[in-house]
Amino acid sequence: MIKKMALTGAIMATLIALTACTSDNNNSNAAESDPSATVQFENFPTYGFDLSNTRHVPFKGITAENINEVGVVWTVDLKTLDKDVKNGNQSYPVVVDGVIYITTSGNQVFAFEGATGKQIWHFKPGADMAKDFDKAGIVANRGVSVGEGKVFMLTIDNQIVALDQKTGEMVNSVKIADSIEGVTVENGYYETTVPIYYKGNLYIGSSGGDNGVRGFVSAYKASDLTPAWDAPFWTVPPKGQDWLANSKFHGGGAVWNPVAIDEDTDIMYFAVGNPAPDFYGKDRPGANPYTDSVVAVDSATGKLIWSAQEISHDLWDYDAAASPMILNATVNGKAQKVVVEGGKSGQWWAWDAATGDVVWDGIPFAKIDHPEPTPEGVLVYPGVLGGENYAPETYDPATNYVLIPGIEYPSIMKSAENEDFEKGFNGAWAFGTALGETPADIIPYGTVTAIDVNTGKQVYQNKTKDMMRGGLTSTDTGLAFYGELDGKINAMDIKSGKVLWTFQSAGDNIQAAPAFFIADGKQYLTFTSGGTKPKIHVFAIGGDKTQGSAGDADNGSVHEAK
Amino acid sequence: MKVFSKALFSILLIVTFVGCTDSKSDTESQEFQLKMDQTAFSLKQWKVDGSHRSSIGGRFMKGDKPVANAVLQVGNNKRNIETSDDGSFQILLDQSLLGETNVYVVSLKDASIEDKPISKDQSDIDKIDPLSLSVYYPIEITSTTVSTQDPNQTEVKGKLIADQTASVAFFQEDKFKISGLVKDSIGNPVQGAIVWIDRDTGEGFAKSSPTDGNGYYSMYYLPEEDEDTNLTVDYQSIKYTLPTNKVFHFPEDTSLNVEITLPREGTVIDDKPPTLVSHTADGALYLGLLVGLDVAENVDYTITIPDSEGNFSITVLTDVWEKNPTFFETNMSTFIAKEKFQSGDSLPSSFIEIKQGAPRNINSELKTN
Repeated sequence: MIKKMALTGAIMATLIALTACTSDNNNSNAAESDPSATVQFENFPTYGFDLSNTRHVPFKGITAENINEVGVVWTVDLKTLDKDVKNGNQSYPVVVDGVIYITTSGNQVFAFEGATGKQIWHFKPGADMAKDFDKAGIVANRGVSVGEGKVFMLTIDNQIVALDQKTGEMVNSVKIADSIEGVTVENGYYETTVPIYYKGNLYIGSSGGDNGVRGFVSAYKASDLTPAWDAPFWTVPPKGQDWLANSKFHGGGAVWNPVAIDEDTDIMYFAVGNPAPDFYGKDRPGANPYTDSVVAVDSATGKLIWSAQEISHDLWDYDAAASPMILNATVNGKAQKVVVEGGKSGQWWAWDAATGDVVWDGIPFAKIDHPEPTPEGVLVYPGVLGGENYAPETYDPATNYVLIPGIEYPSIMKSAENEDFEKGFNGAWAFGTALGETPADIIPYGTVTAIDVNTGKQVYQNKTKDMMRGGLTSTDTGLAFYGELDGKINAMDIKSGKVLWTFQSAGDNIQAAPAFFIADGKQYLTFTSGGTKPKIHVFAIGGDKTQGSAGDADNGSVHEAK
Repeated sequence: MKVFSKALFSILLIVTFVGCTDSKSDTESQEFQLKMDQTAFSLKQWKVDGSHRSSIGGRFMKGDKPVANAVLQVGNNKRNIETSDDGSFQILLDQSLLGETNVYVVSLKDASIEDKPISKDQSDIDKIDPLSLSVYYPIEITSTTVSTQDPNQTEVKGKLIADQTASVAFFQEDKFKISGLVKDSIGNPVQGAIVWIDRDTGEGFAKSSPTDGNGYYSMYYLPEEDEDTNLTVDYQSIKYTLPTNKVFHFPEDTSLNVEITLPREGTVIDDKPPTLVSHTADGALYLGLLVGLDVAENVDYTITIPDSEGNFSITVLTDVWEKNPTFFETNMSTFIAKEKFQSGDSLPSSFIEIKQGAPRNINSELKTN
């Protein structure tokens, strides 16, 4: 814990004069000199709690014994704050000095006083900034990063935005395409991910692999949003080279979830998505590096350190999607720093953080049966949602367990017949619509799987009613928290896997993992929910225990996934 | 003694003065200079081991003295690269990408020579010549002959030399265009509608530009071969779709024309002519590598699209060729409406658009064997 406290500095409790941070009155000097007027905060300062993405908080306020006393402190329907907030929400809250920062679908940003729900500021992109948002056809956003007094967000149409942390006023914005040619919606790129702030830089990837873009990771200076690396790290060859010598597609390999960074070594790890085209591999011979891989690079320069591929020559859309975690774990009885990642393939890996040597190789956590797609279609497990989609895992150091949020939902996958429609035709050729495949009558569900990092073996697997779309967060009292698509928030005992607490929130479609923070010694739980009434929720011991009504799970089209 | 010192100082001043005004003299070595052993690099193929990205080094000197703690930047990237005590610096160069980029000095604020600070303002920095780094395929001339068509012209055969054995020159169809008109139920063009296609069983989508005053939309898309594709028209916040369970099987390797008439009532597009009419169409967006000559814009020549071995030929006026023009190489993306293009096809020089940052001034070497 001591190590984690030292990691970001921002995690360390900071003493802030309450009046100084919540008001602009003239008595702040007096207040600062009065110890009784201070509030102590403990933060959830970045997407994964720490830059290693462990999602494990050192807080002990909520326990198995008092969990039933947890209730709603405040909640708000974001559409009541601004009618243009779009449906759905996948924002992972970040909490700094008692202030919760979240985004909405459609790239609005809200800052709330965590303990009270008081809105501190609200950022809504102006008409000029938002003019191309509609082109993307997707509205999701997964949250912000905070650093250097600024709040950073990526917009759906590939802009990087810096807001003043205190006021929400826009400080700066740049188009990624200004520094990386062709990163536009027209070319199939879009951004839903959280930029990660570290040592003065912001680290970003992008979505769009299935639109045939060329995946990349790049670095920008947080100070002026100019590029911080000599060149982006491209995850696949340029078109016309290596395994893309004969492909019409640009290869895919999008890095559409946040990077993890080891602050001891400055090594950055990221998960790379599937190759394009996803179900047809003839024009992309070989293993298709670095798709479906975890890649380690020097965060200062972007230079390759190692890469490890999960699925060679993928034909099933099995991205390495979720952010990797860096763990100081026990492996075979010895301390070892490992990087772990669960893929859409339904398999989980651990590698030595320094060398990339495989430690645990593709441990299954879902039904796995993926024959090669045929023109007639085959039922493939996992389906296109995974396995593990973007939802992050959590790591509990006490048990040495990783908890994996899983999806059980097969897909029918058809390969191309590779017919040449044009042979024998001169001029235009008429064609029309055809009957689509009737969806199989299969009910999707979710899982939470515990894997002991010491042995690489599954300890238990819990079924959940709906697919696990949000991910997990754990606390130092041996509890793990996760939301579900019907709007329930749950706490489970990590050691036994037993669900100890279920609370029907007033929202539905929880599609992001919760965060925790401490204000004035009290531990709070916060998370967002989506659906047609996107909300933010804050819970704590002593809150209102009135439950909401169960929401309808939006199992969603795959197009919402990325 | 004192007098002698003053005299020496005066002499030094004069020497320095001469050095500043006569840039061609050997005292030029007192100027700031960015140096690299190599500034031209052969294009390397992308490799999984990352070997196409290499650290290249240089030194920043004033005369023969290294400048420490100067800040350099490369191209549009604002990563500050500080020179070491020996004036050296390192850059990570992606040699798989064709291009030309500059290394330049951005700050001498903390710079020192032999541990002595040097104070220089921005105008001094601007006088330091940037170093130009370029990555390209070296060009070899294999033959020159008088054109059989026109005795005033020379036909030059050349080859782009790739590293190792594989050559990677390519020019191919990149994407196809889906376009057409959107009309309302009485046949009037609909303005501001967006046509959206997406895959029924996988991820991936394309959205069109909003329809113009004639109802015309277009988008580039690469249908994943013989797949179920949904079509949606977004107009005035209403989504018009194909009937339930109906999808398109878009033909592959061709542009498409899809004419859509929106229904009078409801949101389902009647998927039969005349309300939904689909045809293949000509044209494609091409992407690939082209080569050309660094000559004045009004000098016409023809050049063939390099083949996969890198072979190309140029037909140019003999007196232009005899002036030993240098070459440029550029990646070009363009929509070609009618013909189908492939390597070996001849293009007029006016066709080639030189991309910003394309390597130029490439000297060719005559192959002698």
